[in-house]
Amino acid sequence: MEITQEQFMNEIETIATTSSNFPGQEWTIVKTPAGSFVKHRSVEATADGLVLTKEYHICFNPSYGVPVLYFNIWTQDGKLLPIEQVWQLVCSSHKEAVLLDPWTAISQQEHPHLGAPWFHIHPCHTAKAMSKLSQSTTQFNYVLSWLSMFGPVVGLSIPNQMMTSIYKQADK
Amino acid sequence: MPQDYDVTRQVWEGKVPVEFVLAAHECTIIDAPKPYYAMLPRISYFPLALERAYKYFMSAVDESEVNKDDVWLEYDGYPLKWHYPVGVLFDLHKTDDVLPWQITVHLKKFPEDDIIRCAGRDALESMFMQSLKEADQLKHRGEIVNTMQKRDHKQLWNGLVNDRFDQFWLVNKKLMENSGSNTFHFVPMRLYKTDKPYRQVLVKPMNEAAERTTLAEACRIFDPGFDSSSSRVVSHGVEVPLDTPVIWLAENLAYPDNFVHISILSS
Repeated sequence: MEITQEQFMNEIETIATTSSNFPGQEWTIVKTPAGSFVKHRSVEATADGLVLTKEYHICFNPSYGVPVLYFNIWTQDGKLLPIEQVWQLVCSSHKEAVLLDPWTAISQQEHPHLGAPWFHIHPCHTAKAMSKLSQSTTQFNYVLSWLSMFGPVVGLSIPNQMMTSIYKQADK
Repeated sequence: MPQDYDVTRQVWEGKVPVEFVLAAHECTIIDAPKPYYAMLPRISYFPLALERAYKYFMSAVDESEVNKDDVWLEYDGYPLKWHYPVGVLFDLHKTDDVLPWQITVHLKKFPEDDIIRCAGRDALESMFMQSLKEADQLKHRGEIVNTMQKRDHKQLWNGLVNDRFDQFWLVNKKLMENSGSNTFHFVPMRLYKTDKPYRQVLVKPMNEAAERTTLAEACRIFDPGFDSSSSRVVSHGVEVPLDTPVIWLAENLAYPDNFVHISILSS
Protein backbone atom coordinates (compact mmCIF):
# COMPACT_ATOMS: atom_id res chain seq x y z
CA MET A 1 0.00 0.00 0.00
CA GLU A 2 1.44 3.37 -1.04
CA ILE A 3 0.55 7.00 -0.51
CA THR A 4 1.01 10.23 -2.45
CA GLN A 5 3.39 13.00 -1.51
CA GLU A 6 0.39 15.21 -0.78
CA GLN A 7 -1.05 12.75 1.70
CA PHE A 8 2.39 12.41 3.29
CA MET A 9 2.65 16.19 3.68
CA ASN A 10 -0.80 16.52 5.25
CA GLU A 11 -0.14 13.72 7.69
CA ILE A 12 3.25 14.92 8.88
CA GLU A 13 1.78 18.37 9.40
CA THR A 14 -0.86 16.79 11.65
CA ILE A 15 1.82 14.89 13.54
CA ALA A 16 3.92 18.03 14.00
CA THR A 17 1.02 20.20 15.15
CA THR A 18 -0.38 17.60 17.56
CA SER A 19 3.01 16.69 19.01
CA SER A 20 3.55 20.28 20.13
CA ASN A 21 1.12 19.51 22.95
CA PHE A 22 3.37 16.75 24.26
CA PRO A 23 6.60 18.07 25.81
CA GLY A 24 9.61 16.01 24.85
CA GLN A 25 7.74 14.35 21.97
CA GLU A 26 7.77 17.24 19.52
CA TRP A 27 8.19 16.68 15.82
CA THR A 28 9.08 19.68 13.66
CA ILE A 29 8.70 20.19 9.92
CA VAL A 30 11.81 21.02 7.90
CA LYS A 31 11.37 22.53 4.43
CA THR A 32 14.08 22.02 1.80
CA PRO A 33 14.29 22.50 -2.01
CA ALA A 34 13.84 18.73 -2.34
CA GLY A 35 10.60 18.74 -0.30
CA SER A 36 9.67 18.63 3.38
CA PHE A 37 10.34 16.13 6.11
CA VAL A 38 9.62 15.97 9.83
CA LYS A 39 12.16 15.47 12.63
CA HIS A 40 12.36 14.55 16.30
CA ARG A 41 15.34 14.67 18.66
CA SER A 42 15.86 13.02 22.01
CA VAL A 43 18.63 12.44 24.51
CA GLU A 44 18.71 9.30 26.55
CA ALA A 45 20.91 7.29 28.85
CA THR A 46 21.40 3.61 28.10
CA ALA A 47 21.61 0.84 30.66
CA ASP A 48 25.42 0.93 30.28
CA GLY A 49 25.51 4.57 31.31
CA LEU A 50 26.11 5.98 27.81
CA VAL A 51 24.37 9.24 26.96
CA LEU A 52 23.11 9.10 23.40
CA THR A 53 21.58 11.86 21.30
CA LYS A 54 19.17 10.47 18.74
CA GLU A 55 17.56 12.29 15.88
CA TYR A 56 14.87 10.79 13.64
CA HIS A 57 13.66 12.10 10.29
CA ILE A 58 10.63 10.91 8.38
CA CYS A 59 11.11 11.57 4.66
CA PHE A 60 8.99 10.63 1.67
CA ASN A 61 10.35 8.27 -0.98
CA PRO A 62 8.52 9.01 -4.26
CA SER A 63 9.88 5.89 -6.00
CA TYR A 64 8.12 3.56 -3.54
CA GLY A 65 5.38 5.95 -2.39
CA VAL A 66 6.20 5.32 1.25
CA PRO A 67 7.69 7.16 4.24
CA VAL A 68 11.31 6.29 5.08
CA LEU A 69 12.90 6.60 8.50
CA TYR A 70 16.34 8.16 8.70
CA PHE A 71 18.12 8.40 12.01
CA ASN A 72 21.47 9.26 13.55
CA ILE A 73 22.82 8.47 16.98
CA TRP A 74 25.69 10.40 18.52
CA THR A 75 27.66 9.67 21.67
CA GLN A 76 28.43 12.33 24.24
CA ASP A 77 31.61 13.41 22.44
CA GLY A 78 29.65 14.18 19.27
CA LYS A 79 30.78 11.10 17.34
CA LEU A 80 28.40 9.02 15.26
CA LEU A 81 27.66 5.55 16.58
CA PRO A 82 29.33 2.93 14.35
CA ILE A 83 26.87 0.84 12.36
CA GLU A 84 27.78 -2.37 14.18
CA GLN A 85 26.62 -0.76 17.43
CA VAL A 86 23.47 0.51 15.75
CA TRP A 87 22.63 -3.06 14.72
CA GLN A 88 23.17 -4.14 18.32
CA LEU A 89 20.87 -1.39 19.59
CA VAL A 90 18.05 -2.55 17.35
CA CYS A 91 15.15 -3.73 19.46
CA SER A 92 15.51 -7.34 20.50
CA SER A 93 12.41 -8.58 18.71
CA HIS A 94 13.85 -7.50 15.37
CA LYS A 95 17.49 -8.13 16.13
CA GLU A 96 17.58 -11.60 14.64
CA ALA A 97 16.08 -10.53 11.34
CA VAL A 98 18.33 -7.51 11.07
CA LEU A 99 21.51 -9.35 11.98
CA LEU A 100 20.71 -12.13 9.52
CA ASP A 101 20.97 -9.72 6.62
CA PRO A 102 21.99 -6.40 8.12
CA TRP A 103 22.93 -4.65 4.91
CA THR A 104 19.46 -4.93 3.41
CA ALA A 105 17.72 -3.70 6.53
CA ILE A 106 19.56 -0.86 8.26
CA SER A 107 22.45 0.87 6.56
CA GLN A 108 24.06 4.25 6.19
CA GLN A 109 22.76 6.24 3.24
CA GLU A 110 22.95 9.72 1.84
CA HIS A 111 20.09 11.74 3.33
CA PRO A 112 17.83 12.72 0.39
CA HIS A 113 17.42 16.32 1.58
CA LEU A 114 20.63 16.99 3.50
CA GLY A 115 23.16 14.92 1.52
CA ALA A 116 24.92 13.91 4.75
CA PRO A 117 25.31 10.33 6.06
CA TRP A 118 22.26 9.05 7.96
CA PHE A 119 21.21 5.56 8.94
CA HIS A 120 17.99 4.34 7.39
CA ILE A 121 15.63 1.42 7.24
CA HIS A 122 15.38 0.39 3.61
CA PRO A 123 11.98 1.25 2.11
CA CYS A 124 11.55 -1.62 -0.31
CA HIS A 125 9.85 -3.82 2.27
CA THR A 126 7.66 -1.03 3.66
CA ALA A 127 4.81 -1.15 1.14
CA LYS A 128 4.52 -4.91 1.52
CA ALA A 129 4.56 -4.72 5.33
CA MET A 130 2.02 -1.89 5.34
CA SER A 131 -0.37 -3.78 3.09
CA LYS A 132 -0.64 -6.37 5.84
CA LEU A 133 -2.18 -3.77 8.14
CA SER A 134 -5.90 -3.42 7.78
CA GLN A 135 -7.40 -0.36 6.23
CA SER A 136 -9.02 0.53 9.54
CA THR A 137 -5.57 0.98 11.06
CA THR A 138 -4.05 3.12 8.30
CA GLN A 139 -6.99 5.20 7.19
CA PHE A 140 -6.57 7.92 9.81
CA ASN A 141 -2.87 8.54 9.47
CA TYR A 142 -0.80 6.20 7.35
CA VAL A 143 2.47 7.80 8.45
CA LEU A 144 1.62 7.28 12.11
CA SER A 145 0.61 3.63 11.56
CA TRP A 146 3.85 3.13 9.69
CA LEU A 147 5.83 4.84 12.47
CA SER A 148 4.25 2.66 15.13
CA MET A 149 5.47 -0.37 13.14
CA PHE A 150 8.96 0.71 12.17
CA GLY A 151 9.86 3.21 14.89
CA PRO A 152 10.23 0.71 17.73
CA VAL A 153 12.75 -1.27 15.66
CA VAL A 154 15.16 1.62 16.21
CA GLY A 155 14.07 2.69 19.65
CA LEU A 156 11.43 5.22 18.68
CA SER A 157 8.02 4.91 20.24
CA ILE A 158 5.05 7.26 20.32
CA PRO A 159 3.12 7.57 23.59
CA ASN A 160 -0.40 6.18 23.28
CA GLN A 161 -2.00 9.46 24.29
CA MET A 162 -0.24 11.27 21.48
CA MET A 163 -1.22 8.58 18.97
CA THR A 164 -4.87 8.82 19.95
CA SER A 165 -4.69 12.58 19.71
CA ILE A 166 -3.21 12.42 16.19
CA TYR A 167 -5.75 9.87 14.99
CA LYS A 168 -8.54 12.10 16.30
CA GLN A 169 -7.33 14.93 14.04
CA ALA A 170 -8.15 12.84 10.98
CA ASP A 171 -11.79 12.84 11.97
CA LYS A 172 -12.04 16.59 11.63
CA MET B 1 13.66 0.70 -28.72
CA PRO B 2 16.52 -1.84 -28.81
CA GLN B 3 19.92 -0.88 -27.42
CA ASP B 4 22.56 0.64 -29.64
CA TYR B 5 25.33 -1.91 -29.07
CA ASP B 6 28.12 0.53 -29.97
CA VAL B 7 26.90 3.00 -27.39
CA THR B 8 26.35 0.52 -24.57
CA ARG B 9 29.72 -1.07 -25.29
CA GLN B 10 31.52 2.30 -25.22
CA VAL B 11 29.71 3.26 -22.03
CA TRP B 12 30.88 0.00 -20.45
CA GLU B 13 34.48 0.46 -21.53
CA GLY B 14 34.94 4.12 -20.63
CA LYS B 15 37.87 4.56 -18.22
CA VAL B 16 39.63 7.36 -16.38
CA PRO B 17 43.31 7.38 -15.39
CA VAL B 18 43.74 7.89 -11.65
CA GLU B 19 46.83 8.68 -9.60
CA PHE B 20 46.31 7.83 -5.93
CA VAL B 21 48.68 9.68 -3.60
CA LEU B 22 48.93 9.19 0.13
CA ALA B 23 48.18 12.28 2.21
CA ALA B 24 51.62 13.74 2.89
CA HIS B 25 51.26 14.10 6.64
CA GLU B 26 50.13 10.50 7.03
CA CYS B 27 53.33 8.80 5.90
CA THR B 28 55.40 7.48 8.74
CA ILE B 29 58.47 6.50 6.72
CA ILE B 30 61.06 8.93 5.47
CA ASP B 31 60.54 8.37 1.74
CA ALA B 32 56.95 8.99 0.74
CA PRO B 33 55.65 6.11 -1.37
CA LYS B 34 55.29 6.63 -5.10
CA PRO B 35 51.73 7.21 -6.27
CA TYR B 36 49.56 4.22 -7.17
CA TYR B 37 48.24 4.37 -10.72
CA ALA B 38 45.11 2.71 -12.05
CA MET B 39 42.77 2.97 -15.04
CA LEU B 40 39.35 2.87 -13.47
CA PRO B 41 36.16 2.03 -15.33
CA ARG B 42 33.77 4.97 -15.22
CA ILE B 43 30.91 2.57 -14.46
CA SER B 44 32.68 1.12 -11.43
CA TYR B 45 33.06 2.28 -7.85
CA PHE B 46 36.12 3.38 -5.90
CA PRO B 47 35.96 0.72 -3.18
CA LEU B 48 36.62 -1.93 -5.82
CA ALA B 49 39.86 -0.22 -6.87
CA LEU B 50 40.77 0.86 -3.38
CA GLU B 51 41.46 -2.64 -2.10
CA ARG B 52 44.72 -2.78 -4.04
CA ALA B 53 45.67 0.85 -3.48
CA TYR B 54 45.13 0.40 0.27
CA LYS B 55 47.42 -2.64 0.44
CA TYR B 56 50.04 -0.68 -1.49
CA PHE B 57 49.98 2.26 0.90
CA MET B 58 49.89 0.13 4.04
CA SER B 59 53.59 -0.51 3.54
CA ALA B 60 54.25 3.21 4.08
CA VAL B 61 52.50 3.66 7.40
CA ASP B 62 52.56 2.25 10.87
CA GLU B 63 49.80 -0.36 10.57
CA SER B 64 48.98 -0.28 14.24
CA GLU B 65 47.89 3.31 13.92
CA VAL B 66 45.51 2.80 11.01
CA ASN B 67 41.95 1.52 10.87
CA LYS B 68 40.63 0.36 7.49
CA ASP B 69 37.25 1.93 8.29
CA ASP B 70 38.94 5.33 8.41
CA VAL B 71 40.11 5.31 4.77
CA TRP B 72 38.70 8.08 2.64
CA LEU B 73 39.44 9.80 -0.67
CA GLU B 74 39.67 13.47 -1.41
CA TYR B 75 39.94 15.63 -4.54
CA ASP B 76 40.27 19.38 -4.52
CA GLY B 77 39.14 19.55 -0.90
CA TYR B 78 36.06 17.41 -1.53
CA PRO B 79 35.70 14.11 0.32
CA LEU B 80 34.62 11.74 -2.46
CA LYS B 81 31.33 9.91 -2.04
CA TRP B 82 32.42 6.37 -2.75
CA HIS B 83 28.88 5.16 -3.37
CA TYR B 84 28.69 7.28 -6.55
CA PRO B 85 30.11 5.68 -9.71
CA VAL B 86 33.66 6.77 -10.58
CA GLY B 87 32.47 8.45 -13.79
CA VAL B 88 29.90 10.56 -11.95
CA LEU B 89 32.53 11.83 -9.48
CA PHE B 90 34.92 12.58 -12.35
CA ASP B 91 32.32 14.53 -14.36
CA LEU B 92 31.11 16.37 -11.27
CA HIS B 93 34.37 17.39 -9.60
CA LYS B 94 37.02 17.56 -12.28
CA THR B 95 36.93 21.00 -13.78
CA ASP B 96 40.29 20.97 -15.56
CA ASP B 97 41.79 18.80 -18.31
CA VAL B 98 44.77 17.59 -16.31
CA LEU B 99 45.26 13.83 -16.40
CA PRO B 100 45.77 11.55 -14.58
CA TRP B 101 43.16 12.47 -11.99
CA GLN B 102 45.11 12.95 -8.78
CA ILE B 103 43.23 11.71 -5.75
CA THR B 104 44.52 11.87 -2.19
CA VAL B 105 44.13 8.81 0.01
CA HIS B 106 43.59 9.62 3.67
CA LEU B 107 43.94 7.07 6.43
CA LYS B 108 42.88 9.21 9.37
CA LYS B 109 40.34 11.82 10.48
CA PHE B 110 37.42 10.36 8.59
CA PRO B 111 34.93 13.19 7.83
CA GLU B 112 31.93 11.38 9.24
CA ASP B 113 29.63 14.38 8.87
CA ASP B 114 30.21 14.42 5.12
CA ILE B 115 30.52 10.88 3.84
CA ILE B 116 29.30 7.39 4.57
CA ARG B 117 31.86 4.90 5.83
CA CYS B 118 32.71 2.25 3.32
CA ALA B 119 32.62 -1.10 5.02
CA GLY B 120 33.84 -3.08 2.05
CA ARG B 121 32.45 -5.05 -0.84
CA ASP B 122 29.34 -6.32 0.91
CA ALA B 123 28.22 -2.78 1.70
CA LEU B 124 28.92 -1.71 -1.87
CA GLU B 125 27.04 -4.68 -3.33
CA SER B 126 24.10 -3.93 -1.08
CA MET B 127 23.99 -0.28 -2.17
CA PHE B 128 24.31 -1.24 -5.80
CA MET B 129 21.43 -3.72 -5.52
CA GLN B 130 19.30 -1.17 -3.68
CA SER B 131 19.79 1.31 -6.54
CA LEU B 132 19.11 -1.34 -9.12
CA LYS B 133 15.88 -2.34 -7.37
CA GLU B 134 14.78 1.25 -7.06
CA ALA B 135 15.43 1.78 -10.78
CA ASP B 136 13.23 -1.20 -11.59
CA GLN B 137 10.64 0.06 -9.12
CA LEU B 138 10.48 3.20 -11.23
CA LYS B 139 10.47 1.39 -14.57
CA HIS B 140 8.34 -1.66 -13.86
CA ARG B 141 7.05 -1.23 -10.28
CA GLY B 142 9.79 -3.70 -9.34
CA GLU B 143 8.04 -6.55 -11.12
CA ILE B 144 11.04 -7.62 -13.15
CA VAL B 145 13.80 -7.37 -10.53
CA ASN B 146 11.66 -8.99 -7.84
CA THR B 147 10.80 -12.02 -9.95
CA MET B 148 14.44 -12.63 -10.85
CA GLN B 149 16.35 -15.40 -9.13
CA LYS B 150 19.00 -14.47 -6.64
CA ARG B 151 21.61 -15.87 -9.03
CA ASP B 152 20.50 -13.29 -11.64
CA HIS B 153 21.12 -10.51 -9.13
CA LYS B 154 24.54 -12.03 -8.43
CA GLN B 155 25.26 -12.22 -12.15
CA LEU B 156 24.64 -8.48 -12.51
CA TRP B 157 26.96 -7.69 -9.63
CA ASN B 158 29.66 -10.14 -10.69
CA GLY B 159 29.42 -8.94 -14.29
CA LEU B 160 30.17 -5.42 -13.08
CA VAL B 161 32.95 -6.42 -10.68
CA ASN B 162 34.68 -8.75 -13.15
CA ASP B 163 34.20 -6.55 -16.21
CA ARG B 164 32.03 -9.08 -18.07
CA PHE B 165 29.82 -7.07 -20.43
CA ASP B 166 28.04 -10.05 -21.98
CA GLN B 167 27.39 -11.73 -18.64
CA PHE B 168 25.97 -8.48 -17.28
CA TRP B 169 23.75 -7.68 -20.23
CA LEU B 170 22.34 -11.22 -20.44
CA VAL B 171 20.42 -10.34 -17.28
CA ASN B 172 20.27 -6.57 -17.71
CA LYS B 173 18.34 -6.74 -20.97
CA LYS B 174 15.37 -8.05 -18.98
CA LEU B 175 15.47 -4.87 -16.89
CA MET B 176 15.55 -2.89 -20.11
CA GLU B 177 12.30 -4.36 -21.45
CA ASN B 178 10.18 -1.45 -22.57
CA SER B 179 7.22 -2.64 -24.59
CA GLY B 180 3.71 -3.91 -24.06
CA SER B 181 2.95 -4.48 -20.38
CA ASN B 182 6.57 -3.74 -19.47
CA THR B 183 6.68 -0.16 -20.77
CA PHE B 184 8.61 2.12 -18.42
CA HIS B 185 6.38 4.00 -15.98
CA PHE B 186 9.15 6.42 -15.04
CA VAL B 187 12.72 6.93 -16.18
CA PRO B 188 15.27 6.42 -13.37
CA MET B 189 17.37 9.58 -13.30
CA ARG B 190 19.64 11.26 -10.77
CA LEU B 191 20.87 14.79 -11.21
CA TYR B 192 24.09 16.07 -9.67
CA LYS B 193 25.41 19.55 -9.01
CA THR B 194 28.51 20.37 -6.97
CA ASP B 195 27.92 21.24 -3.33
CA LYS B 196 24.40 19.84 -3.33
CA PRO B 197 22.89 16.45 -2.56
CA TYR B 198 21.83 14.66 -5.74
CA ARG B 199 18.22 15.12 -6.82
CA GLN B 200 15.89 12.40 -7.92
CA VAL B 201 12.38 13.19 -9.16
CA LEU B 202 9.72 11.29 -11.08
CA VAL B 203 10.28 11.69 -14.83
CA LYS B 204 7.82 10.16 -17.28
CA PRO B 205 9.03 8.86 -20.65
CA MET B 206 6.29 10.83 -22.43
CA ASN B 207 5.34 14.40 -21.66
CA GLU B 208 1.87 15.88 -21.54
CA ALA B 209 1.87 16.50 -25.27
CA ALA B 210 2.38 12.75 -25.76
CA GLU B 211 5.89 13.33 -27.11
CA ARG B 212 9.07 11.74 -25.78
CA THR B 213 10.33 13.76 -22.80
CA THR B 214 13.65 15.39 -23.64
CA LEU B 215 16.67 15.84 -21.40
CA ALA B 216 15.98 19.59 -21.32
CA GLU B 217 12.46 18.98 -20.05
CA ALA B 218 13.76 16.56 -17.40
CA CYS B 219 16.32 19.15 -16.24
CA ARG B 220 13.50 21.65 -15.83
CA ILE B 221 11.50 19.16 -13.75
CA PHE B 222 14.52 18.83 -11.45
CA ASP B 223 15.20 22.55 -11.43
CA PRO B 224 12.60 24.96 -12.77
CA GLY B 225 15.32 27.60 -12.98
CA PHE B 226 17.43 25.43 -15.33
CA ASP B 227 19.09 27.65 -17.91
CA SER B 228 20.45 25.71 -20.88
CA SER B 229 22.56 28.65 -22.10
CA SER B 230 24.70 28.70 -18.96
CA SER B 231 24.81 24.95 -18.26
CA ARG B 232 26.59 21.91 -19.60
CA VAL B 233 24.78 18.64 -19.06
CA VAL B 234 27.27 15.77 -18.86
CA SER B 235 27.16 12.01 -18.52
CA HIS B 236 29.98 9.52 -19.13
CA GLY B 237 32.25 12.44 -19.93
CA VAL B 238 30.10 13.51 -22.84
CA GLU B 239 28.01 16.66 -23.13
CA VAL B 240 24.60 15.20 -23.87
CA PRO B 241 22.41 17.03 -26.41
CA LEU B 242 19.44 18.53 -24.60
CA ASP B 243 16.91 17.26 -27.14
CA THR B 244 17.84 13.62 -26.43
CA PRO B 245 14.76 11.64 -25.38
CA VAL B 246 15.22 10.46 -21.78
CA ILE B 247 13.93 7.06 -22.81
CA TRP B 248 16.95 6.68 -25.10
CA LEU B 249 19.20 7.70 -22.19
CA ALA B 250 17.58 5.08 -19.94
CA GLU B 251 18.14 2.36 -22.54
CA ASN B 252 21.64 3.28 -23.67
CA LEU B 253 23.38 5.67 -21.31
CA ALA B 254 22.36 4.29 -17.94
CA TYR B 255 25.01 3.08 -15.51
CA PRO B 256 24.93 -0.58 -14.44
CA ASP B 257 22.59 0.33 -11.57
CA ASN B 258 20.08 1.23 -14.32
CA PHE B 259 20.00 4.90 -13.34
CA VAL B 260 20.85 7.72 -15.74
CA HIS B 261 23.32 9.85 -13.78
CA ILE B 262 23.56 13.40 -15.10
CA SER B 263 25.84 16.19 -13.91
CA ILE B 264 24.77 19.78 -14.51
CA LEU B 265 27.82 22.01 -14.68
CA SER B 266 28.07 25.70 -15.38
CA SER B 267 29.61 26.48 -18.74
